[in-house]
Amino acid sequence: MLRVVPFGVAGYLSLTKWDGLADPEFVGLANYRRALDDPALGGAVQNSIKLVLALPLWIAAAFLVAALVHERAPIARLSRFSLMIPVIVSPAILGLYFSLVLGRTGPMNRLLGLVGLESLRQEWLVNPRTAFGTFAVIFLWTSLGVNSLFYSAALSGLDPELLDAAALDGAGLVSRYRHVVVPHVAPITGVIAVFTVITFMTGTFPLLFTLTGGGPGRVTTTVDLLIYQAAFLDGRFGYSCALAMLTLAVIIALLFLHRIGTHLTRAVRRR
Amino acid sequence: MTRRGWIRFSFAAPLALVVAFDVYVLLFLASSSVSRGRTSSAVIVPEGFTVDHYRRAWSQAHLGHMAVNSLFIVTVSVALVLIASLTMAFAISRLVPQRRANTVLRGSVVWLLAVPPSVLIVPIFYVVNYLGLINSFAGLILVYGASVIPFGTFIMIRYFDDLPVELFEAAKLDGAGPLRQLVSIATPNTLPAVITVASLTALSLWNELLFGLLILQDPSKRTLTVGVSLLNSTFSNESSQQTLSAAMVISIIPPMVLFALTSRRLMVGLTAGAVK
Repeated sequence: MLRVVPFGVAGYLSLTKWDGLADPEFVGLANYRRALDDPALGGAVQNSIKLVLALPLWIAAAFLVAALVHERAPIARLSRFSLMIPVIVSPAILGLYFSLVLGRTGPMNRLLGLVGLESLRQEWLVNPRTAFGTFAVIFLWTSLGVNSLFYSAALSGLDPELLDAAALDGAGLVSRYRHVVVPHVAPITGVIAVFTVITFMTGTFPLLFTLTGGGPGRVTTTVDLLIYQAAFLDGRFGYSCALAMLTLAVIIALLFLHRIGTHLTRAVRRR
Repeated sequence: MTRRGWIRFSFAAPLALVVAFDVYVLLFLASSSVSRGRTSSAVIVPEGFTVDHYRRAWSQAHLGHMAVNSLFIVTVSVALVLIASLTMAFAISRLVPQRRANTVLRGSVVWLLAVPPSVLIVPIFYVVNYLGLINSFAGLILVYGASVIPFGTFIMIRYFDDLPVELFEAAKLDGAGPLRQLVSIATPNTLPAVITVASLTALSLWNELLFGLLILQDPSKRTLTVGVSLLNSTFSNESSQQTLSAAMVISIIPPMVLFALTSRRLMVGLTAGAVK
């Protein structure tokens, strides 16, 4: 009930002007028209696109960690456990933590001073030039653990004989990975890509709430933060719902694309 | 070192960096929360030892009160999620033989799973408000239940599907109804999965910020994660940063303990979605 009813409510509210208290007033598509030329939404979408552009890095990092664990590299297991920290600790708490660490007199700047890089010292989350990059790195770190677990699960399902056969054929480490392992985990890569892109639009709120609040200005504002702000800070509930509907449309389109993509690759492989 | 050894070593270096960073995160937090001196420095060794910060965090910020709130909400939510997901999963896995209906039901579970509730904050708020449950634990528990039940159902369906049919046919011959079959056969035989669902639910709800923030607006009803996140504004000057560290340490102890107890089952649950 609480999961299905809201879809309908969202659709209705997105056509109204509602301040959260009085009765919603029907305004047709005005909210959607407004969304189209809202610079805040434009900025949030740009931020999401920036994150999407870095997606290969996101995925490669997770794969690398999983592969290293699989190959029993030194400290790989340890790193897996330490990468679980963002799973155990709430992103809200992590955001709070990093706002302390990266502050003007925080340990990050002291550390830079110790190694003689005073020139790099700055208020990482307040400086508009560094804020988004800093957020992106922290966000990448928080998702690394789970994504590498996905890859580990896929790697443990890989038939070791395949790898041995490839090795007998004279394939080195790199080419074994290129021709055997990477194709094997391709479906998982698709899943990770789709779900990571979805979290770019829906999973950044708790971290941003305590880390930057979307600031400075709107430099680190993302779609889900904007949905929250439009409703609960600006009191524009109807508009917030319109944003939510647009986001949902993008998510559903992504999921369909993923399904079509999987069907196509399967069809191609069968041939 | 052999060539292979070097390759390994060079790949391990960035990993070592990540580990060092994580360890630093924890050590800095722990040390600044017990240090007598001001530790806005990079040093992770506390200057002297004191529990004053913890005392202040506990009494001034009402952390104890909020911890009790969190514990209550999470416990009831987990119970709700378990009951609902087990019965739903059992119904879908065993009791709906019609192929079409069954496919539709399974599909809807997956779709619900894929759409994160964080997008639907306003309508969910609207529904909870309509029910008159803003500022009540029941409101938040309902929302929490609704947001995790698709996941719980999804996991349990997979495990129930793997149970041999003979098990249930034997029970049916002995006169066991569906409820009896669920309680005495299906559940005990999938206990690890049940633990996975319970621990993952507890972990994610303990850490939840968004709905806790929206639904429980009365400061005395806040959950621990929400309360600590909002401390930022109360303790923002430099001298109270250590109090903030202490509060953060307190808030992450329960999930740490939970993880220590159930890490293996938790990791299974985390990856379950992808390997369908």
